[in-house]
Amino acid sequence: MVLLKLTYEFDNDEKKLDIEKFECLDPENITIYTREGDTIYVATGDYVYINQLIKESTSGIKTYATISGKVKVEEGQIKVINDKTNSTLVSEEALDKIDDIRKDIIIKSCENLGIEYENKLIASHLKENNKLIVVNAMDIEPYQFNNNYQFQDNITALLTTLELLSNKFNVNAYLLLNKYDDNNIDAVKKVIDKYPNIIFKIIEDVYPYTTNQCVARKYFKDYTYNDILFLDTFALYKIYVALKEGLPVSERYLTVILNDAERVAVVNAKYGANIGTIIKDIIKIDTKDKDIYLNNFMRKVKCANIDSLIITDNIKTIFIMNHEEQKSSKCIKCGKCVEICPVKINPLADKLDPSCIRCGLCNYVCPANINLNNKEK
Amino acid sequence: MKKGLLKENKVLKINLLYILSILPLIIYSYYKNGFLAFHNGFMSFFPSLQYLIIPIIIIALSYVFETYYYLVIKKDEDMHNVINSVVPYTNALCYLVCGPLDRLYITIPLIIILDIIIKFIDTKFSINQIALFKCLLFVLLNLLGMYNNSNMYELNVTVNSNLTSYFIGNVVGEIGTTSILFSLIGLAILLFNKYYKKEIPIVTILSYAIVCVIIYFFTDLNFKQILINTMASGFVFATIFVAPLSVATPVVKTGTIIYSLLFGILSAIIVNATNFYLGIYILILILSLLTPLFNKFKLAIA
Repeated sequence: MVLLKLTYEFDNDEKKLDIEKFECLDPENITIYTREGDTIYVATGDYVYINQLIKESTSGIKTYATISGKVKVEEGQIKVINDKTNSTLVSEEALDKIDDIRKDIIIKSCENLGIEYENKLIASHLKENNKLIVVNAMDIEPYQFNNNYQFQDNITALLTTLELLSNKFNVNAYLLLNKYDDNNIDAVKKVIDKYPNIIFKIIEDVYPYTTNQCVARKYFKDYTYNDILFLDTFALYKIYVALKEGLPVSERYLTVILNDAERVAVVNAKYGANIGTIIKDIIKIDTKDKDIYLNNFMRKVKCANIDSLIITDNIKTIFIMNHEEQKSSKCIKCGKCVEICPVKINPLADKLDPSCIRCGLCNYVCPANINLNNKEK
Repeated sequence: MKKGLLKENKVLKINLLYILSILPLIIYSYYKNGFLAFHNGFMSFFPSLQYLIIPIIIIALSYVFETYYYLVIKKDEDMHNVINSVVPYTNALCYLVCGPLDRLYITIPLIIILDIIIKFIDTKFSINQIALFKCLLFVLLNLLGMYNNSNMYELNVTVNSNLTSYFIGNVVGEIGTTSILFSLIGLAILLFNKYYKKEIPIVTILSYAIVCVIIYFFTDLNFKQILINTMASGFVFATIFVAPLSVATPVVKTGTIIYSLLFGILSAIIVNATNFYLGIYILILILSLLTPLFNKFKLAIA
């Protein structure tokens, strides 16, 4: 069993940052990118309603319209032009309470909507090897506040859903919050007595100590990683909406960071909404001559064209940095990348070790600016 | 709030700090090999300046060679690799391990040839360029019957060799390796460089000291002899500057510690049992070639 070393403590305490909140719930249009093999349920000229199924990927992940309007199918993408009528499909499965839903209904609801987390379908996990449920309600990556806001806004719904899952699947359920998340910790402490099946744990916020793989190794040594159903706040919220409304979630949070956190914004935006438009027109940040990094600045995943970015489950944070030539030079073999690696692998190896969690810390400490994460496993 | 989410390339700064760490040795080597000889009338003024000018020439030549290599051979128009090259530092170190009267027509081409060799084979092995240079130069000069560690001043006067002169470096030896004091000043500068593998000199010196204690108790050698052997052998220079050369040392912590332990233990035996001081450089060379093996040791995670 490999234990973990604490690594970098990023000071992303929300209280020290002035976080602006925005919404983009009625965009002009949404884009859904398609791949070969996807099943597409609409054609150009069709009219779609909010929550209408648009496409299904080969792995069973479903994509729904998040606005109503006319469809335009193009090469590699489907566009829905908003007609601002806000027409929505009403689900027959809408319930007043979710306290006593049967196990098979839970699985079916997740299956029908193709709810996934980290590209794994939650329904299949619930059916097959579910021995423990862990809701990692922390924002794992530095300078990300999506889970934080999602939790604040839906605390009762989320705890009720977790209690239900624990009860119906007869497994322990853990709720993890980071120790700096004072507001949510206080809120949970006040109500946790009402949810006897939930084990509440407060965890040190040391990156990448809070990633699911690290949490599994550190706190749940008796289980293999695949035995645990890890969920983040948003995935749990998706299950809640699926059970309560019988509908998919149509919007999600996105954190936008300007330079070295000069400005921090959290936007609640519709899936498929254009991120470029959100940043320029809603948050009012000029992206001209800026470098855009996706999700984790340490992984150095640069985006060449922000106008092609849309809100999806995969994009959680956007870093907008002043343009700087990030030139790398030859490795000086200082060993800092090996020293910092939380899973103790050698990032200098030709091929990345399968246990790499792509936290990006090796990139961050590399004095030669080498992108060590940019390798295949 | 941590500022500077994206880090800049620090290699140039690291290399400049490395070069800065050997400046005290270069200045002292001018005093010892050039100034003293000039001051006592064994050398005229301009030839005495060679000990200041040659390292500058070597550093400049290294940049010229690096430019040629990247621009012409590799056809890389980006000068970044040239500016951030560690070669000027290693070449300057090569100069410091030369004998004070070594011929330039041997040393400078040998340094350049080594650069080429390292460039083509160092992707698979981690060769310590300075150790290799020292060994080759020693063999070459012995073959040519030109090997001599004394400078012009030392050839003409009797040099006092008490503990203090060993510590200051006022003894016969290579251009820049004799002074313990100036090596320690270099170490003090290197300690400001967080990319310098300080565990190598620390573990080496500790393991060396332990073996020396054992030697003291189980052999006829007394404390003063052990101390003189240590200071006369160039062990301190090799421990501070040559052995921790990052490009030729393990990147894994456990591997680095084993590397240092082996270096400390074996060099203590070489220095005190054999008096074959070149053995230290041969040892570094062998250990650096074994670096891929040391890198296989995984650190038990805390």
